[in-house]
Amino acid sequence: MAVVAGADARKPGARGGDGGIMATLDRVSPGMRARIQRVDGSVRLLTRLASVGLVPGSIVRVERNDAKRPVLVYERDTMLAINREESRRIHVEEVA
Amino acid sequence: MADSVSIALLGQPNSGKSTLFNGLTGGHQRVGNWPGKTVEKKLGTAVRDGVAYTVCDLPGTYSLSAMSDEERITQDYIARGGADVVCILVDASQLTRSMYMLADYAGGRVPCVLVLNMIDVAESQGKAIDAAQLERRLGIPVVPFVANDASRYGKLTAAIQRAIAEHSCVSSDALAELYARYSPEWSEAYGRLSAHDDAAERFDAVWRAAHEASSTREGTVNCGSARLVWVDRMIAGVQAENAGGAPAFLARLDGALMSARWGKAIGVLVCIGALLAAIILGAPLMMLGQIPVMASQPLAQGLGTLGVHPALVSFVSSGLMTVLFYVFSMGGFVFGVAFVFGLLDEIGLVARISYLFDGTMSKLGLPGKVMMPFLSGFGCNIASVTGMRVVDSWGQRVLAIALSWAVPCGTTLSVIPTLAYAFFGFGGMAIVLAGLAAGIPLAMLLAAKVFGDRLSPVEERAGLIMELPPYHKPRIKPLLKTAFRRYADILWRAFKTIFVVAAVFWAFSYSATGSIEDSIIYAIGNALEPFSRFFGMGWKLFMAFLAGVLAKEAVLGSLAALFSSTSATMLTAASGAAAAGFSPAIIAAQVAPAEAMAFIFALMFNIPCVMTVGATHSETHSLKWTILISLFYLALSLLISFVVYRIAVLVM
Repeated sequence: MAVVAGADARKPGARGGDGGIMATLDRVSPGMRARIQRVDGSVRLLTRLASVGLVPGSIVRVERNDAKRPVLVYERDTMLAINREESRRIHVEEVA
Repeated sequence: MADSVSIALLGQPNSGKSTLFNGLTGGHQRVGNWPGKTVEKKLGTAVRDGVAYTVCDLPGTYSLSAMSDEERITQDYIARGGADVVCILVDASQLTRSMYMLADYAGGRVPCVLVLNMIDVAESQGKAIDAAQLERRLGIPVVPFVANDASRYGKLTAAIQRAIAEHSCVSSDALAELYARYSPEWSEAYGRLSAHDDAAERFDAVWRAAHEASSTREGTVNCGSARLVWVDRMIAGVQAENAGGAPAFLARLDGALMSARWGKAIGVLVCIGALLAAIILGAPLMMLGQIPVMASQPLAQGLGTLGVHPALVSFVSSGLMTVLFYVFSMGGFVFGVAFVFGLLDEIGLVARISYLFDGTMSKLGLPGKVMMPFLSGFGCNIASVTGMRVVDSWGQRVLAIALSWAVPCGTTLSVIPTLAYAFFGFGGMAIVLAGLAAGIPLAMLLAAKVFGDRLSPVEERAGLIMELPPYHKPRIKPLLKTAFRRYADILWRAFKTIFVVAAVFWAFSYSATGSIEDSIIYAIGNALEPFSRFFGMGWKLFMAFLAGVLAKEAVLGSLAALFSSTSATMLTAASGAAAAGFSPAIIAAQVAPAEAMAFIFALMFNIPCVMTVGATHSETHSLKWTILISLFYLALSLLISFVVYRIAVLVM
C-alpha cells in the first residue's frame, strides 16, 4: 500500500467506496493517482478548489509530496501546488 | 462598426492578462485603486483602425464568486454595464483547467470573446486546438492568441467588433441542464429567480441562481462540478494532443528546483544569478551616472568664469549633478531587474521560486515569489519596490513593499561598515554588523505584524493553491520594451522626487562664506539638539541621519561637511565626497562611542531614501500607505537609536 503511514489518529487503511484506500491528500505517495472524495473547508476554499478543477470525483496524480512543502499534483493539464494545511482537508481514495 | 468600445479583460492571474493589456494600450494607462478598496484599478485606452477602445484590466480572479474584493469588483463592473464586451482569457496550454472562467461567466448577457492565449506554448507542447469548432459550439468568437506578439492584435479587435455586432453571448442552456442535474440548491434558487428574469439584467437567472446556490458548501461543490462537466463537453474533441514537453535542460532544472534536499539552495542560487545578471545588464546604464560626477568640476569652473552667481554655480555643479548621479545609478539597476525578473516570470521560474519559499514567506503573510524582489533590495530598494509587481494582490504587494524597505541596499551595505570601522575598528565592526544582521529579520517581522492584518488578511491570503505554469519560451523584444518603459518612467519620477528634496537640502546647507556654521541647517540643527539628544544623537549626527533619507550616498559627504566645517556643501556625489572630505579621525574625536553606535543603527533602519519613497508611491498609488510606511521606519529607527544609545552608555 502506498499511503504514507502517519502519526495522526485517523483510521488507518479504512476502506473507501470502490475498495480504494481512504486518506488525505497530504499522505498520498508520489506517482499515485487519487480520486477526491470530499473536502472539509470553507466556501472560499471550496470555490478556489473548484476553480482549478478540484471537486469530489476529480482524479489527480500526485507528483511530489515532500515534508513541509506544498503537495504537487497534476490534473487538467496543470501542475498545482497545494499547501499542506489545505491538502489535509482533501479526502481522497487511491485509484489504480 | 462601433467606433467607441469599452472592453473588460477577465482571466485568472496567470492567463497573460497584463501582457494583453499592455500590448493593447501601450503606454496609455491610468492605474489607481478601486474606490475604498485595496484592489488595483487599471484602465487604458487605444485607437485602432479609427476605433477608440477603453480597456479595463479587471483584477485577476479565479472565479466570479463574491468571496473577495477582487471578485466583487469584477462582478459589479460587468453587472453595472461597465463594458460593451468581455474578453475572457484562457491559457491555451491548460485549456481543460482555464476554461472554468468561461463556464463561470456563461449566462452573462454582455457579449464576449474567448481569447486562447499562449497558443504558441500549446503548439510547442504538441496540442492542436480546433478554434473554429470551439467557436461553433460556444457561439462566440474564439481567437487563438499570443499576447506578446503584436501582429495578432488585429484579429483580436476584429473579433471584438464581431461579438458586439452579433451580440454573441455564451448560451447558458446546456449549463442550466447540468446545474439542474448536479445541484438541488440551484434548482431551488432558479425556481424563484426565473419567474422574474429581467432581460435588462446583465446576468441571467441561470447565472444568478448558480451564484446564490454557491453561498453554501454543498451548492459550491455541486455548481462547480456542473461547470467542470460543461467545460469537458465544450472542449471534447476540440483538442488533439501529441507528445511534447519542456526542453530537456529546463526539465532537469525543474527536477533540481523541486528536489527536497537541494531545491532551496538552488532557488537561492537562481535568485543570486538573476541579481548578477541584472547588475551586468544595468551596468552600462548605471555608468551614465558617472557623467554628471565628472562634469561637476569643469561645470563649476565654466559657470564661474561666465560670471554666474556662486550660489547658482554651487547648486548646478554639486546639487543638480549629484541628483543626476543618484537617479542614473539607481535607474540602471532597476532596468536590469525589470528585464531579468520579467524574463524569469515568463519562463515560469518565478512560480517555482514561489513554491520553494512559500512556507517561509507565508509567516510574513506573503507569497514565496517575493523572495526575488527582496533579494534585489540588496542592490537597490527601488528595484525591489518595483519588482513587487510580480505579486498579484494589491494588499500583499503593499505589504511586500513595506517589508522590502528593511533590506539594506548596496550603498547602505558600503556606508555602514565604513562608519562602523571608522568608529570601532575591526572587532567593533564585526559586532555592529552582527547586530544589524539580526535586526533585519526582526524589523521585517515587526512590519509584518503592524501592517499584515490590514493588507493581507489571513483568510484572504493567496497562494494556498498555486499553479506552476509550464515552461515558456520567452520573447525578448516585448520584455526589453517593458523594461525600457519602466526605466524611463522611474528615471523621471525619481528625478522629480529627489530634485525637490535635494533643492531644499541644498538651500539649507548652502553658506555664502563656505563654512557650515553660516548655513540654515546649522541653525535648525542647534534648535533640534534637545530633541535629537533624547534619541541619542547630537544634532550633527542627526542631520547626517536626515541626509541619509535623501540618499544613503549623501551620508559620508554630510558627515564630512558637518564635522570638518571646511567643505561647504553636504551634497556631493558619493564617490567624490568619501575621497575628498570624510575623515573618520576628526569625527571620532567629536562623537562619543555610544552616540556613534546609536547613529549607525538609526541609519540602518531608517527610510531607505526619498527615491524609494517616490517609487513606493507610484507603485502603490496610495499616499496614505506611503506615509504610513515612511512613518513606521522613521519611528522604528528613532526607537532603535534610543534603545541602542541607552544600552551602549551602560556597556561602553
